[in-house]
Amino acid sequence: MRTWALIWGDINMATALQISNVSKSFDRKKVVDNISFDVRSGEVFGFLGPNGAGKTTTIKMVTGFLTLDEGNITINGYDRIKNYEKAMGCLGGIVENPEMYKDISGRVNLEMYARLHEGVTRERIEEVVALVGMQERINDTVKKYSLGMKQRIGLAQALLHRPKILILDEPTNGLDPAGIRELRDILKKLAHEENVAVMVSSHLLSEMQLMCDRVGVINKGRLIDVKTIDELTTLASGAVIYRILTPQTEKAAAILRTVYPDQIRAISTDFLDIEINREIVPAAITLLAVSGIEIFGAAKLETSLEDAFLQITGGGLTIE
Amino acid sequence: MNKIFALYKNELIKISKKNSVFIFIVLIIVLCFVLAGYTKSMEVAQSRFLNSVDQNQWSKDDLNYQLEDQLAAKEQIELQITGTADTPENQMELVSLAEQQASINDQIDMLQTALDKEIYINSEGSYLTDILSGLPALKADIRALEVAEAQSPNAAQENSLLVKKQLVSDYQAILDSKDFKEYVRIESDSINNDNTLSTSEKDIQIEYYSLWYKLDPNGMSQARDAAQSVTDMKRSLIDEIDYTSMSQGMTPMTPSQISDMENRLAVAEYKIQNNCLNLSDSVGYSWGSLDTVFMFGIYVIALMMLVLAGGAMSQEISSGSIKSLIIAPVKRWKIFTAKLLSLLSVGLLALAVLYIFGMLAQGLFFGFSSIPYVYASHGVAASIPFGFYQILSLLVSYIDIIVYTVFAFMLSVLTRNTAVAVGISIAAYFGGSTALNKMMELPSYEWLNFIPFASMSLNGRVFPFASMMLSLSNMDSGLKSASAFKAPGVTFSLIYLAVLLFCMTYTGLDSFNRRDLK
Repeated sequence: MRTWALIWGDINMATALQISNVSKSFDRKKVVDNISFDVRSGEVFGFLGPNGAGKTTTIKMVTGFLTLDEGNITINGYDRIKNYEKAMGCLGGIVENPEMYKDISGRVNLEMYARLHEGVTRERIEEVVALVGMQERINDTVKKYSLGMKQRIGLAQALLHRPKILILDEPTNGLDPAGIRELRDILKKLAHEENVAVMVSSHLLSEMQLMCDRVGVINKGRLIDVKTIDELTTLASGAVIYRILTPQTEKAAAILRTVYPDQIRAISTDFLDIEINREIVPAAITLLAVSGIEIFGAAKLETSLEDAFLQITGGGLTIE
Repeated sequence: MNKIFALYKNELIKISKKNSVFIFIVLIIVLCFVLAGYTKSMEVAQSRFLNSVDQNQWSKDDLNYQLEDQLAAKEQIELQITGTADTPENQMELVSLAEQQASINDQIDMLQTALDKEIYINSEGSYLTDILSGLPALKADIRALEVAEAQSPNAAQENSLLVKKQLVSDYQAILDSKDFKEYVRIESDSINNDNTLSTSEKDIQIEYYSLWYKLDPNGMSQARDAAQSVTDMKRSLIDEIDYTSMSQGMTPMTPSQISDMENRLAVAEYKIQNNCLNLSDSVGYSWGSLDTVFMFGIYVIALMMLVLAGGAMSQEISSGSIKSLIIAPVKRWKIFTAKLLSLLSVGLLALAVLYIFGMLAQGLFFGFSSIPYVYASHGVAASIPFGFYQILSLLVSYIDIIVYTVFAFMLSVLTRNTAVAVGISIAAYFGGSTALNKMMELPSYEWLNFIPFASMSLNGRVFPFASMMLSLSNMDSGLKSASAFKAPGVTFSLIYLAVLLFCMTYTGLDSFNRRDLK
């Protein structure tokens, strides 16, 4: 799937959302600092960062809640400020929690929202209600909904006018595991089959790993990197960390250092981690075995996005 | 435009789902019937009280009581006269005592006649009570003339004596015949024959009697008061001195006061010509009921509007529901405009409810009223039908509500705090009328015109003849001293309010447009 996006990405993925040099300060504190990135049609773009990194602030600038101190945002080719209504017409989304009028039924909420867009028919409303699986409760007032149901209705509302760009801020909040899976499938389908640019922010990184094609990592208001999931999981050098289980860690490390200096990543009492290319692994193990080291096992350490993320944001590591 | 209309429709849906609106509307409807019913019960209680007492018996008892008093006084005087020696030095005293005795006799005579002919002086007045209570003075005049005549006779005195004696006998004849027409004729004759009066004064006085007769061929006192008011106005216009209000004194009228007076006279004459003068008490109750209903109704509508407007923006922001509006492809000024328009139309709807149920309640309890609103400009009168006048009057009251609604809405946008917006605007609304009343006590400073409250409560200024709808004599213009602050004219006020509304709307809109929604 990811490969699919990558292959087609460079060929026919137009830039749907362009954020260039955007900054925002609250009370003289810079919350978003000179951020630039693109979201392309047909991809799911993950916007990742710890709490307070500036994710929601960036999203609120895109969705028109906040003014920009600097920079500009282009939505589907329309400037977000100069061509406000056209730009916003291409945009759908949920910011923070889905909020609806509580005394009004889900259906009327959707109808009210539909009225503000051109060309949303009654059939379209039924269609999105069916898509999010809310047919049975759609006539209840919103105050009777659970958080998950509100998320569903929020998604229905965001999709109502077939937006070119869909922005979801923490969309899996309040969804049960089945709901999360469903949402993931919906978003992937929208991006890959209907060519929608989907931007998702979350701190549920494992979730992003399964959902996104590319991720932008933001920390302390600065965009640290934009990479594909594969690029992120395979670290910058392309090398992989292998864990070798042995009680003689110090001896093994000494032997390995002679051939692969600076590649030992961790030494413990019963294992050591070494960062080497896949091809070299048999040679390294042979070398140890020949040297009389007792090897109980050797395995590739699966570098998760989470590790990469923590490494990037926490370790202050920059990957260019 | 389509977007604004769509937003407007959405706002109406939201407002219609609010319980508070429903409660306020129900309150208005209940208020209409409760207040009208209350006024009706007052009227019923009053008439029950009047019926429970025998009015005639009560008057008779009163007359008898007065008669006893006078008889006692007579005895006193007689004792004094017999006790006073008939000496030259006592002559003056004796003459004075004799005069007192004669006047007491006249009083006794009057009371006795009243009892005999069942003319009850203290109940509702009529021309008969006028005659009766005038007789003692007339008789005293005659006695004085007789004394003067005896000392130095002359022709003029003799003539006047004859006239007065004739008048007394004419009056006595009328007391027997109870013929109002004859009374009018006699009065007119005596005015015509009175050479001390100018021609214009004669005309005015004769017209007074014929107007009285025209208004009420039975000659009751309400018609007399109405005729008196008209006559006063005419006389004021001729002399250019205001005789219609007590406190004005005898100062000459300014040109604007004169034109006011001309218009009032035109209104009065229009009402007389078109037979829409109401001389019965029940009209007062019916009128009062509608007045109270509309006054309280307007308060309730104002409260409702301030509660709605004060929360219109702040509630959406605090609940977060504003998000779905912001992310929609509509500019913020359109959201602002649609909200304001929807608020104002909900107010109009409430006003329509108040009108319909207010009129219905009045109609059910008192019968549907048909007194037109008569107005005049440049001395030419015209009228507006009752129902239509009430609509216009409610709409004029609505101007204040618009101003306060926009104020509350502006506060709601600026502070984003419902409690502050609602609280401050309600305080301003109820403080405003008090402030205006206080301002009226101040001297006439120019800058007072620029205080917003001075341009509010426009009803009295837009419909200056409303106080004449019930009675001609009930004028309120003369009660305030000329130097006190007078609220500015309607045109000034409307322009001022338009500017004020523009400024408040602009402030709110600018804030809403620029400020972040964190």
